[in-house]
Amino acid sequence: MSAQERDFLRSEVVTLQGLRDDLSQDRVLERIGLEQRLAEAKERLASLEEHLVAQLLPITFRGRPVEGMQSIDAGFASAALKAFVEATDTVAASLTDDLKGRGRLPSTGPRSLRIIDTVRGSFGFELELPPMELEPELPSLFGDESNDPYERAIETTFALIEDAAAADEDGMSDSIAEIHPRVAAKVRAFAEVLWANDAQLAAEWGSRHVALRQPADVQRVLEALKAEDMNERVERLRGRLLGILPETRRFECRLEGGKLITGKVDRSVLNINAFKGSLENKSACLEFRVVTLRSNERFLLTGGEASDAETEGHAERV
Amino acid sequence: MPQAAATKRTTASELVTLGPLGDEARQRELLRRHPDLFDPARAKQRYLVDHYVVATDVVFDARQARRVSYWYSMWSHRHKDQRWKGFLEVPVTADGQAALAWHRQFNDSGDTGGQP
Repeated sequence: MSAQERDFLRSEVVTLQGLRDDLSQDRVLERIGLEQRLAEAKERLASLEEHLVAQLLPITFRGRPVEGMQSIDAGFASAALKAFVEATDTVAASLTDDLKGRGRLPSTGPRSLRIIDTVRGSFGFELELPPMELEPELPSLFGDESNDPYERAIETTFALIEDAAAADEDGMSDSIAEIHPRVAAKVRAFAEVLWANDAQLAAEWGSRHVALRQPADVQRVLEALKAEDMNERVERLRGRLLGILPETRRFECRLEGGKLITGKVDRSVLNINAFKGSLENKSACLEFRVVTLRSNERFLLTGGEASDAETEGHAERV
Repeated sequence: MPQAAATKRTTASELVTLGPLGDEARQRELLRRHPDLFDPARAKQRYLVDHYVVATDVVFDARQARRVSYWYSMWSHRHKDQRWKGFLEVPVTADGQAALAWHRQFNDSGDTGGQP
């Protein structure tokens, strides 16, 4: 079931209610028809709304491969869609890779974006993300309301394109830290397809919009996401974990020597309370994944080993 | 009833009959005498037809225009590709032979695309 069908039925119900309410009482036969049709529409809508709804992602292109609202070059369209879906698939895989090994992923089959229609007004496609059944007991994976890795992947892809086009180094650094630098290359590859074909794009996901309206916008994405400007390394540093916010997963840590480090606890750490309990306010050897984008660094806390007197001499590895 | 418009789908034909329905007493009498025609649930069950009626012996005001345009908007185009379906107008005579002949022809054609 798509959001399109749900929206159609919602409009149908409102329209039928209006037509019925406008009928005078003596219009017996027409009233029976409208009331029965209304009841059927309401029943169908209720049935659809009980289930998860597929979400829509309209994406339109403009530029050289597009002939107004009439047509789009087939070779470009297939290459651009392939690159876009590869980007979101790879981001989603990156977001869930750490969880796979721990058997915490929802038990669903392969899931990706699907084309369900064309979109006019420029030319493009309506993509749809099929709904996913989540395990009810699955804990919050990302520290906010969205618990669907693929939804999160689309949001992250949008954010990365948007921040890259706006040359927002902080925003880009946050996104790249979340998805690993190697995955950002897939987003850049999508921008390369646009650039090579002198094409631009606009896309929507819920209330979020992303647009590369001018060739210069596409060029900025390519410049911002150069592989040689991104790096990732593991660092083990001695220090004291001062605290972790359980919802946002943000931490503060004082290193030996006095330097203060802030960042996020890596999503591979699932039991944040146990993690806090074993490391907070203890001297420890802490392990970080450090992601750099040019001069920006992001620290992701992946583990640690407490070793001071508070653990009574027993090293505690998390 | 002077005319009817219909399209066909896999599960049931959809039919709107436009005609003079008379006053409330006559409409109640029609419903009592022919419930399988005028009660849409019963029409669907018996004839596999979604059947609705629109009165033509009323003032054609803005509200009536909305009613007519509703049915037109429902069935004038195919949802998936916006192709015109067209409307078939079938005069309904007293003995209904022309309508029956058309219905047989329509069913025999196996057309499910909604094209006239």
